Amino acid sequence: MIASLLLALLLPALSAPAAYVLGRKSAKTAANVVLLFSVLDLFFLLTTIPDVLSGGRYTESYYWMPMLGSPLTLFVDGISLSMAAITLLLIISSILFSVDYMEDRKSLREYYALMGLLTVGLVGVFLTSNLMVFYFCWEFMLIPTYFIIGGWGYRESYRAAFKFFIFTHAGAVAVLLGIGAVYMLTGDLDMFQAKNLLAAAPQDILIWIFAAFTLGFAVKMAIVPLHMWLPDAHAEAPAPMSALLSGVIIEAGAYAILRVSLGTVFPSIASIPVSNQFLYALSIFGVISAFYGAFTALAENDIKRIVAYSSISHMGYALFGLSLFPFAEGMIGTVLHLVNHAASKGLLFLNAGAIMKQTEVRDINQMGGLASKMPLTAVSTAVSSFSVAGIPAFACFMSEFLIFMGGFQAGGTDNFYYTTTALMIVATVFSLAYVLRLFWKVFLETSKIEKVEKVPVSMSISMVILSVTVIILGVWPGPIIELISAAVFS
Amino acid sequence: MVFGLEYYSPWLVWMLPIISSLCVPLAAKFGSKARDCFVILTGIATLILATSMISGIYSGDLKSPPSIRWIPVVDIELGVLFDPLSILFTNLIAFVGLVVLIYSLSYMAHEEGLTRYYFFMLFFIGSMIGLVMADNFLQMFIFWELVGMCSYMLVSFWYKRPEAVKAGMKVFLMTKIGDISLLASILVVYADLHILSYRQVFERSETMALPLLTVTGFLTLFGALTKSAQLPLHTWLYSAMEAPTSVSCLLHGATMVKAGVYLIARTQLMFSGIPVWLNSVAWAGAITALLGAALALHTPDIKGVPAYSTISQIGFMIAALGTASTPEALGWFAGLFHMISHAFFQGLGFLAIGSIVHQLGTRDMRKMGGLRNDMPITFALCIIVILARSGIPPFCSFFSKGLIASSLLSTGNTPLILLIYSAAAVTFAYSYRFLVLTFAGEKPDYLRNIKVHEAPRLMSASAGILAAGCIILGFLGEPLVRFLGSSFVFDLASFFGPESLLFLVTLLMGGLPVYFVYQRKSISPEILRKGALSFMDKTLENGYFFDPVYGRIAGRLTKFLESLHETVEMRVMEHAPYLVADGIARFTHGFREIAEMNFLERIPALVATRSMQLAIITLGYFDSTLDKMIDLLAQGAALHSLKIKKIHGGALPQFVLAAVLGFIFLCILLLLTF
Repeated sequence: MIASLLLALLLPALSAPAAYVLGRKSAKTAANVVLLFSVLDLFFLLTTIPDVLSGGRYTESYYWMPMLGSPLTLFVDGISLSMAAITLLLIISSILFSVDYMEDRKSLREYYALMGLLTVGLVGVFLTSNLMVFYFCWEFMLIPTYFIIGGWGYRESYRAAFKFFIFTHAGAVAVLLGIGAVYMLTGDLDMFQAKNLLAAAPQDILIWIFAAFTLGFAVKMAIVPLHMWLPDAHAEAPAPMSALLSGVIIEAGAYAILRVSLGTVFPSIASIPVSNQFLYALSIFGVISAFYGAFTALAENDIKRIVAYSSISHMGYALFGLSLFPFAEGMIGTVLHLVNHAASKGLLFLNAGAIMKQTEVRDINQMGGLASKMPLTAVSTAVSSFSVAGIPAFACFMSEFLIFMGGFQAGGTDNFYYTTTALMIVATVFSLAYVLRLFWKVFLETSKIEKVEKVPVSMSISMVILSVTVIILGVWPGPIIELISAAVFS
Repeated sequence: MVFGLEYYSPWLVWMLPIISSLCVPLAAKFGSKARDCFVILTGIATLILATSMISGIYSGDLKSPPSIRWIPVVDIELGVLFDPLSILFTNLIAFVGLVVLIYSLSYMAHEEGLTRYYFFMLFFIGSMIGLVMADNFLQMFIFWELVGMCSYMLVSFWYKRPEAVKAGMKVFLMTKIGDISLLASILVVYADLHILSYRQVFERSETMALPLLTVTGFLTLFGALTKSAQLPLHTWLYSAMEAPTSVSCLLHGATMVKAGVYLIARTQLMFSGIPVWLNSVAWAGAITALLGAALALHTPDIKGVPAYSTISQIGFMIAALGTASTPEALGWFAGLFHMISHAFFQGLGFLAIGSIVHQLGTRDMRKMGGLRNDMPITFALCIIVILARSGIPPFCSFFSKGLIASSLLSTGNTPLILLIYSAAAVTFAYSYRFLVLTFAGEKPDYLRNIKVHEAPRLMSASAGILAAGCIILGFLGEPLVRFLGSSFVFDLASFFGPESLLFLVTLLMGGLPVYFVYQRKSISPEILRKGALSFMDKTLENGYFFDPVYGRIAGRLTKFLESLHETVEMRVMEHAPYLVADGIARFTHGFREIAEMNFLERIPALVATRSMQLAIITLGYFDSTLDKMIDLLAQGAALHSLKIKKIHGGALPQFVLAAVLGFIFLCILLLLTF
């Protein structure tokens, strides 16, 4: 369809004022408006599938900022399409979840309008190949997020929001420096053009550009030891926002490393030995994050913080996968892992939110025996947490398997990767351990909470949508792997 | 090949139970009767599908149905393997599965959460059949993990009991350690050969470098041993006994624990060329056989007997597999034959004691005794169990253990033979002890107040099916040899020779001490716990200290994690950003204090006063200069006027002109000064 990507970018921008104006009477209307726009958005996005499958990439270009010689280029290939699609699915589920989850809160039309605005940034990051637009969307995510965490969060929510904002903004400064340097070296802001032009640039500068980009993105990805903002932000945000934070925002960091650091800059420095050290560093920090996240999740007692640490652990898997560049299995596995993790962890956060809302408790030691009182939540928590633990037939297993596969392939050429892959495989045992502990403390044994009401309809629906997604992704990952691999091989 | 039922059976046989399991909650909407019927019908249909494939093996139509494209990039296809080994396991699983489902109808009738129970039972049957029908390593591994998940869910079935929940977690986590080893071996194979389908891997495994192949072999072996509850990670099986007895029967007696045996039998083709691997298999099996049997002899727990017995008997199977250098050899057949007979007698062993556990409310055999009059049928079934388990002719295990013994004798490895023979002796001893403790003698005080009655008919009937199997199975050896395509001749007459006599004498030697200690009570068991033997008692009491050591490791780890969380995460990581922020805040604050208050704040005032002073000084300077100039001017003008006065004597026009000129001059002067 003509201009479907532009529509996909602009529709959410329109949804914000629309929700604000139409939602004056009831917050439900505002929610429905944003929901409708998001569904339409997803539809427009999916209309590009035939082009992507046949041509590998679908591009739109618009006149913009002639002074910098840079048009507004929007594009999708298999990677960005699958990322953007899962993002929208998660947004749809989150908004649906919010309808009942947020019902007793105030100023909801502002909330939904902010959700609409947030969508612009979240989707835009995956859809553009222009570094300036990319940076714009990258930063644009922060503002609605800040207000949603602060305004509708728990406990000291503004403190957590402030921490989040400062951290990621500091990371973005490094990214901006990198973008500026790329523009000065090439005179072009398009990722794909820049990749070709950078080959002629001096390598000792490129190393610094690579480092700046990667560092900036790693902050967003919450790689240990840059993860300090994550547990607070995830734990204090309202559940739908936590789902988006964990499902999309931190994954945008991984996507950006793949697209910008590794995709644009790295090919030009791949020939010098120090580039290997960079990949080693990614690999090592991946392992550290995977273990650190799992370990802290095992010792934590706050339900949302457990899930938050689990996200750190999983970003370790993603970073490890990225370090396998350019092994195809590793790259496909990493992107697939981002998609799978978005669905699983989003679902797990929604479940945690449902549990917290129904019980009004957040310490898992005070819960227990909820399986008989919240059966649907128990089932969907089992689905999401087994996926997080990498049990087969649930989403994350297949992507972890592909990442490990890539790791052993890389081990064939460089023994270092045998060690790190083996460590990553060991980390899955700890994933299973914290997941089982969470499930045990929350759902099993005898009940410590007397009265728990049934989970409202809209929350149940969104949980079912994501559970089914997780299972489908786990059982039949073929189509999406095909989509991703087309992009990886090109 | 006809495109009939048997063409689709290899697919349907595992998909049907899985899909049906998803429908169990739906069926439960129509009432519990409808759900039960649905479950039993699924079990029957699965068994029919399984048996429909047997003829295909005999007729030699060994053709696997086409595979389905599944994971594109890495070229892994979803396929089924149509070969004797998988069909053998499939039939066994479908059969025991159906028996246990029927048994559950009565045994579980009054429990809550039956929809969940049947869901996981059907899902388990489907996954287990999927495991053995899979035609590549990845598909096998997926089902391998799924049966583990079912095991967790079913062990924790009574999720309100803390012991059951903890046991479930232990089972899942311990088997997961073996699973990652298996996963690693699969990945090594893929990284080297870029294929995962059994057939292609076995064809090309010879091209793998020997060290790599050996590593793969041991990783696989460790995964298999853990799943089959062999040393050193065998302790999970006893914990799994927290499950309902029907679950213990199906998962932890008859089928799931055999996954390791299946895996070793399946990969024999690949690794049997490595002597170290083959030896390790045999040794691991033989040692576990004896150590497990000794634990069964010591345990006071009535469910512990079949649990440790399972560990020990699987050791027999694995030891036999370890003697087979090809899948046609005697050891391979002996192991699998024993696997089948074990499924029957151990399944029966669990089903028979199910009602005892159910009614007595305890699992401690020391509180039991004299049940033979109250439960005659159960008593009879238990006699069959011990005869069949120990290997008394004509029960099944007489034949299977005979084959295992001769396969080991053919290797001539004396320590291995001794291990296996002593394990066989202890097997008879613990079975006998169990029978005496439970059924013989007088009723103890504990049982006086409990009214014990015979198990419901449905339970006895389903146990009876397995009992019948124990009796006839031994005579089915010959068709089984043809089925599995082994290369030796199965001759019933050969079982009645000197070897068998030796075997029976061994059993007798095992039985004698039990007879004197427990039946005649001429030797007190306390004597055995004193003196030199107390060390052995302690060792057995603690299960060779495996569990205490694992527990200590787990405890240490937990403590480490807690301190990591406490110190690194909550103290350092949580506060580091605030420390930095504090530093910045203090700096800015200090900067404001010092610079702003002391310096910057004063600058405007300072500048103002200084410039005022400057202005005043400057102005004053100009002022005085101007004054002097005006004075000078005035004096000059006065002097001049006197001269003019003298000259003109007061002509007005000249005065005016002089004044105007003077004014203009002044003005110019003033303009110049500014």
